[in-house]
Amino acid sequence: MEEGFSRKEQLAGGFLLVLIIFTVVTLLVIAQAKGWFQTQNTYRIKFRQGYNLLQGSLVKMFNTEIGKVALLSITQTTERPQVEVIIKVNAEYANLIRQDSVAEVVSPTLIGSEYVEISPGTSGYPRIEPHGDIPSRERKSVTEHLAELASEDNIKKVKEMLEHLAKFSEDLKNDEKILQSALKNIDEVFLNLSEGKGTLGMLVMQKDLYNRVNQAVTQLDKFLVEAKILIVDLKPMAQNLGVFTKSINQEIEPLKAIVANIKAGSEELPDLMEAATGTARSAKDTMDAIKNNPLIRWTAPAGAKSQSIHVAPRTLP
Amino acid sequence: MWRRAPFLSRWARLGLALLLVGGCAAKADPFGQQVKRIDEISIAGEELFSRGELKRASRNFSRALTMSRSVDYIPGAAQQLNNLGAVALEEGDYPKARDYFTQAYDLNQERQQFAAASINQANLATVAVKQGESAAASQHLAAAEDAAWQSRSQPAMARVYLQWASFYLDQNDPASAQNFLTRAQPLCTTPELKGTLSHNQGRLALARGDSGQALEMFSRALTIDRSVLDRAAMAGDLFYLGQVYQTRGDLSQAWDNYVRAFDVYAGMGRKAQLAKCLQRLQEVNRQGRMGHSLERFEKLANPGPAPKPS
Repeated sequence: MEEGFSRKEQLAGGFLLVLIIFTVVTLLVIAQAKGWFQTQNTYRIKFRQGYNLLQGSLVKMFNTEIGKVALLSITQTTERPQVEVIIKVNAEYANLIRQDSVAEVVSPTLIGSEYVEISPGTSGYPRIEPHGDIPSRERKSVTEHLAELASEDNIKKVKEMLEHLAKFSEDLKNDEKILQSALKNIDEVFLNLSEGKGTLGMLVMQKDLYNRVNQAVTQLDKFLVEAKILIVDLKPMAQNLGVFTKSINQEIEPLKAIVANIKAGSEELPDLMEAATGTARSAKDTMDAIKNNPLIRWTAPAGAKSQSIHVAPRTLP
Repeated sequence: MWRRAPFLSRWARLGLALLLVGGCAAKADPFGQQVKRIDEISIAGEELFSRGELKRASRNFSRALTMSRSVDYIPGAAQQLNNLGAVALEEGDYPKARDYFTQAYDLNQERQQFAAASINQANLATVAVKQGESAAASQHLAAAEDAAWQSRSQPAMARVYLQWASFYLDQNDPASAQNFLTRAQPLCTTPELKGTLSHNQGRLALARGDSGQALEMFSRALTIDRSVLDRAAMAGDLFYLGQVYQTRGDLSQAWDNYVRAFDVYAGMGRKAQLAKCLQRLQEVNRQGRMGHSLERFEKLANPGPAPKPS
């Protein structure tokens, strides 16, 4: 009696197994992408009407999808029937839904369908627990908007505005002459400008000036190009300068030492000079005293006497 | 027998005693000492001036002036102002020279230092002569004569008379020059004045065409001026000696004397006089066909580019 599967059966079984594994992996990938595995919190919102919301309509915060409408139903428990909307919001955004958050149905301008917009709550308010009620704001209808627009207060404001407009129009009429003369003056100015009169006219209209400015700019361009070339040439020189400076610095070191020695020596120089001057002065005083002695004075040869110079005019022919 | 040792000993002791007494008699005189220092600086300045080192001389005179003013030594201040004027005159800055001489004259006149005031006026006359203002020069000389007369100083009078004589010789008026030289002669007692007298007598003789007399007078003046080492006067004497020899046709002697005059002026750095000497050397060289090289003289006279030989 033969036991186990034949080779063909083994091949068919293996193929099926691979197919099943592939299907499962694909399903898992799709589920992950669809967010089927994401945990979601459920919240309830009550509106006076459904505003064309559907099951699966988007729930947004900051214009970003955070969940979907799960269920719509009409409740009759209160005096006035209400539409109860159950939404599912991704759990990661649950911390943004707080007591001061407000849900509102938003209609797109032209394309798309209605969705629920929830305003983010501030950190000071407690979070709304799952299955809790999110406060809602009713969307105003066109008639309500019109009624608001056509309120007595607004009509009064429009009336005042029209009155002001009428007054302004009257004032404008009075200032028309002044405006006309001003316009005339402006016309004249523009005429002068177009004829190239005056400094501004010359600046604007004279082609020669424009050409010269153009030439100057061209020359400036050339100069800049040359300057660029020069800078490139200067670079190696600057590098050489660096080497040169370095060698100078090296040479300066012994010089510094010499200067320091001289400085140290020079500190003693004033004392030395003072002593020498003092000695010379006392020697001179002694000599003067000896010279002043009558006996010496009589015998010593008469010295030169200081006198006013007479510039004798020995003029040459 | 004459005993030498006790004799010498006695005289030595007597000499020492006299020195001691003389030393004790000397009094401390700080002002006198300061004046002496000022005089020393001024004398050094005068020496530099006579050597033609005008910048250094000016420095000495300025220092002496500051020192004189700082101790209220007015005669010293007046003297230094005069000397600074002399430096300015040699440098050719005539307005500055006139200003200094006038300041010096005012100080001397205030303090009735007439001899010094006479020198100031004589110097002002020299400034006027250099500027070609003969009338102003004669006015200053008249003022100098007045001051010299008031000073009753013979050398002061002689100095003014000699300058009058020189002035008239410049004006080609030998008679007036002769008159002043005659008046000056008995008053010239110092070597400086005797040298100037002989020099002017030589010029007078030259003006009268008496080259023999002129030669004698200039030679005498040169001897006297050399004895007192008055370089400017010596150079003047040598130049005129050269001129006398040139007039007499002795061009070789003329060349020698002009060269000597040139060298003395070169030592003093007198550019204007060097140019005149060079001109005479060129003349003599050409007249005598001597063929001497003038390169050395031209280099010294014109430190810039050498002039082309004419």
